[in-house]
Amino acid sequence: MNDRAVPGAGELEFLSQLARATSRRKFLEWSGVTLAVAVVGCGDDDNGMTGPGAVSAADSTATVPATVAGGSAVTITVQAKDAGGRNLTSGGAAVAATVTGANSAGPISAVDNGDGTYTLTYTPANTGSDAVAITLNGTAISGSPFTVTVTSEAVSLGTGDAGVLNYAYALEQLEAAFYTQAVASLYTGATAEETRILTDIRDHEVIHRDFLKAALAAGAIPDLSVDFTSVDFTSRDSVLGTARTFEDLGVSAYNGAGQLLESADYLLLAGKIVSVEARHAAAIRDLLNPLSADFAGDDVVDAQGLDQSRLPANVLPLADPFITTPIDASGLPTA
Amino acid sequence: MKSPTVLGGLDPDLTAKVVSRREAMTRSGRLAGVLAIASLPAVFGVFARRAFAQGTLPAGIVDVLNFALTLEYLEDEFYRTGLDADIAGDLDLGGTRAVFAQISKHETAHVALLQSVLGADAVAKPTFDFTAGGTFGDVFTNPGTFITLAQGFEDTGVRAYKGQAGNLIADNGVLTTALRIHSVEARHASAVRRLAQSPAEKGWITLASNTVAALDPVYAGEELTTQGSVDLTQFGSAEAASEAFDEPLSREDVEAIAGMFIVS
Repeated sequence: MNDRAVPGAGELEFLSQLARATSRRKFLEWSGVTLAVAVVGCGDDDNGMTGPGAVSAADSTATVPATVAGGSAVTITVQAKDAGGRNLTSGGAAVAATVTGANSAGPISAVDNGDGTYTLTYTPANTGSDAVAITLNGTAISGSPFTVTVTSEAVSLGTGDAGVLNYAYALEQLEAAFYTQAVASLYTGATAEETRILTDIRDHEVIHRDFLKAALAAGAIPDLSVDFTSVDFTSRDSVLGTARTFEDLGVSAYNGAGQLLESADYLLLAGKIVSVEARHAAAIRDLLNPLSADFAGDDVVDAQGLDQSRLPANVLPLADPFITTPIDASGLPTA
Repeated sequence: MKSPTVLGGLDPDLTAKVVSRREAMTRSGRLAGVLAIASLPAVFGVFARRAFAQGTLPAGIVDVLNFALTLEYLEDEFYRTGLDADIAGDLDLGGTRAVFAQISKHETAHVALLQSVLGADAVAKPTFDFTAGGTFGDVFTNPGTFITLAQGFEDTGVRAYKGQAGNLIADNGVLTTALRIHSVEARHASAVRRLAQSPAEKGWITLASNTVAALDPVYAGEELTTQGSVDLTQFGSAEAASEAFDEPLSREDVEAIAGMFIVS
């Protein structure tokens, strides 16, 4: 700004200072007539100061949000600069971004704002870490690639009995999604027995899920995003092993949640579901090791003949690898 | 939602019940502590027994637990008798023996647990007739009959515990213990039901289907396809809807079923 003095009389000096002190655009709006004098008086000296040189990708910068909620647009502003680090004030460069990582997009062409800035947007659906590579005229800009962490706002289960039912609804969503996928692409070689059992269980879990959603009505949590990348749906062992994990977990979760409910009506409803989950668990376990003691094995039933019981704080970490939507269970009753 | 919801429509007087439960929990705080002891390994049972002998269990809970104990006595003696008959060569359990041995182990443990909790309040074991006066005369010689009765007993046990859960809601410790027995009975029920089929498939109850007339009361009401005020057939078939939810039985209905096998 000060590398060359503004020539001329006091009026131009005044105008120049005013332009610096306020915004030039506002100044334009305020006094168009006087501006004409100023612009004319400035001649080819933009802003009344030294103009920027040729655009330099390596010196251009971008403002990138470090974190963003999934489903919301990420807005990135690129500032074109010259080799001296001075902002360009006119457009014309080709700015583009390519997103890799949790989400994939691009190349995305930027909107040229015509003032040396460019605006890029993309909307990530998946949570995780994205790498956003930005180029200007084909060359990476300073700081590229940028990292954007995509989070979701945690879904709150709520409080009281409704919170406990939402907790159950979350688990049923997980189970229903798993069996829906398992049955839709059943592993090769599944026996008629295995097909029948997996299909029945899918039907039951879908009904549990939809029932709880209907029961909770407006209080129901939204649909959760699930992640079964750790499951090999082409593998019998992987599918049945995951099913066993989910069913045993579901049984222990309902057993532990009963004491959190205040309403005897809801307790009964939970009881009606948990015994079916236990039936599932036994059937899946019997598929894995037929005619053995595993259907109610010593790994899940203790020496007093008691099945497992887990509180939400001990269940959710086990479900977490399969549910990408963050869940806030802090409102649940603890006793 | 066009229909009233469970949360919105079930019980306008819920608040009063909730408050009473809170009060009950406070009042039974001492009991909860005692029951925590009961849930420790069996070696500590003697301490629990002493504690309960002091009369700290509310009469209502003693009543429910004795009802459960009677059913556990029935199951325990049934399986031990069957396993003995298998060893004696009268009842050929074949490849199913491991399943029944595991169930028997659990029923024995349930009897011991309930006895230790109830202490001096525990009811005595009745005298059983598993032929039900001759209706199931070959129960300990015909594996098919043995499996049929086992399935009936397990399904009855699941429904019985479920029906009593609400009566235990005031005590978290007792309730959770009962739920943990309840799901074990359901695992048993699934395994035995699959043994009864060829080929083995469903471990769940479809509608109120049952092929043994004497056991019809065990399945009465299981065909329900509406829960709360929600019609489940909008989410799946009637068969799946009935399978997805197990129904409770009242104490009276359970006692009528068990009564067929109790001589005195």
